[in-house]
Amino acid sequence: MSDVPRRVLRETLSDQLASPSTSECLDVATLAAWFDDSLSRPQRAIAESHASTCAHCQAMLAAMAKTAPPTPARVRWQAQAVRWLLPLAATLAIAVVVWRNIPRDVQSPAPPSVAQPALVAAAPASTAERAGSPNPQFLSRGGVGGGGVRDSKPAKQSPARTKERPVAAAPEEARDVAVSAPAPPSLEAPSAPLQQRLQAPPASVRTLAEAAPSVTLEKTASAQLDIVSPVRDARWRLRAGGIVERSSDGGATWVAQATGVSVTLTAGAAPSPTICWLVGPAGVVLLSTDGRTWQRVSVPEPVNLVSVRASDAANATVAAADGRTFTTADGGKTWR
Amino acid sequence: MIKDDLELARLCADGDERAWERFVREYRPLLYRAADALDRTQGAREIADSLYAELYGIRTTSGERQSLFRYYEGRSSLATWLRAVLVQRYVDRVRVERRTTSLPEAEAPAPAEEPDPHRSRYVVLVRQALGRAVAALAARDRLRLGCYYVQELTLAETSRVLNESEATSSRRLARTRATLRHDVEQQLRDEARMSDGEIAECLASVADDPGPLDLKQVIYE
Repeated sequence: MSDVPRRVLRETLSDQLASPSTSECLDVATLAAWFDDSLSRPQRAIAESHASTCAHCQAMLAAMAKTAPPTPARVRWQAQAVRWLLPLAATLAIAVVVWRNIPRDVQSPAPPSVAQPALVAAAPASTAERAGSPNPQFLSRGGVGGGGVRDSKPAKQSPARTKERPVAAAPEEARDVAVSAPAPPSLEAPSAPLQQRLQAPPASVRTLAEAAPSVTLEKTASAQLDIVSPVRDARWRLRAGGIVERSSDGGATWVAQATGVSVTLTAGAAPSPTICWLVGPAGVVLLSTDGRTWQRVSVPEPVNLVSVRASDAANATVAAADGRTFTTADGGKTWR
Repeated sequence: MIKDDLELARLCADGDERAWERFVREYRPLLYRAADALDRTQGAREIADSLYAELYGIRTTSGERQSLFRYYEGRSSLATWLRAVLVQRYVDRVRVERRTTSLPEAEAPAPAEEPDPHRSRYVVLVRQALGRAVAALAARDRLRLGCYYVQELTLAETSRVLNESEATSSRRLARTRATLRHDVEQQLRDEARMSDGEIAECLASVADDPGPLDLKQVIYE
């Protein structure tokens, strides 16, 4: 054995973490600045020093790392190429600028053959270096510095790997070797009853873009608000101006449906392939129970609705932008 | 970009409906993605939804609008700030739930089947030595170890926290473990007066749980 016993190490590290929050704990702004790399060096050092001994802050940092959008990994040759190309490109750019700014009396009447090389050569080397020298911080973060053979291998193997866990007794090193689906992992020990809260079937919801009517569907497809039923082939999507489209082949083809409203709908939930609830501004709630036609459901107040959860055609909860929620158990006849 | 974010936050805090619509349209998917990453059963989405009310602004008794946007200072992008708010709420909630949920009865330690009569002494010695060695580490090294071994982040996630490349995280983790090992051995030698043979025996005895299989070593070395 040439290493410290892992279990004892983990227990020792846990023992040394203070759990109660203190005034030194990272606040939201600092936490966000940490991940946007906008903390100054002293601020960062202070934050790291505290986080190294604080369970609460480490848990927040871990959660931030898990929820970070995936960054495209840069291949090593790209990083090295950037290292050389940046100064080169900057030098060329300066040379072009200098060339274009040559006084006319030098260039136009009878271009002396010495003018061009002299001017290019006159491009100040120091300026070129200043403009072109890559940011050392950027380079260090770009992973240019290789490691030893053992160290560089894991990074090469899967730059954007994530893991699914916790897996009981899963090899801890396996989390870095096994490549899993890009689905985001759950937070450390998410075993709390929190997991059982929502009974509604998952409905994938994405953003609604204000798509110009003239833009083709293919071009705007990624910006639609999609409502996917538990049978993934059946789905709806919302477009600007109250337009609703339905697909029964997983999004390959779409059929427009009349809703009777002209406001841009904001959210939806489809608990089955034929049942779908939609909400929008000014208290607009629509319900389809056959997957084709829509009926307007009235809510107690004309509030702007921003989300909806539904378990069937009778039970749904809509949330307003002001935070209030309204629940029905009879298909929208009554609300509480 | 931060300037745009600040402007959007200011308009939303002031109750500008168009700005609010733009915010909901552009940032809701981001918040939901982050919530799903925290808790795939959509438990964190409840927190994300409840955030909207606070962001939209709650009217106080004086009728003044109090929006969470007021706390956005532009030290980061609005997207990262929102993610941080969500993460803080989620971690706080998990902590509260853990505190209020009765812990399962502690498992009684298995009847000691001590083939090694010195084992309990070895465990105490190694724990003490390791504790001192960890405490002596630089904060950044300790944080890296904590992210990887306690928070159980992947190397990629650990490197994201430390703002370094994955290869650097891997290399420094290995180096820190080697430092710890050396430090522990030194302490056992100096303070417990152990010979090299006893140290090897001591560490082997403590490592009764051989730990997970080091696949990287199996594959690469």
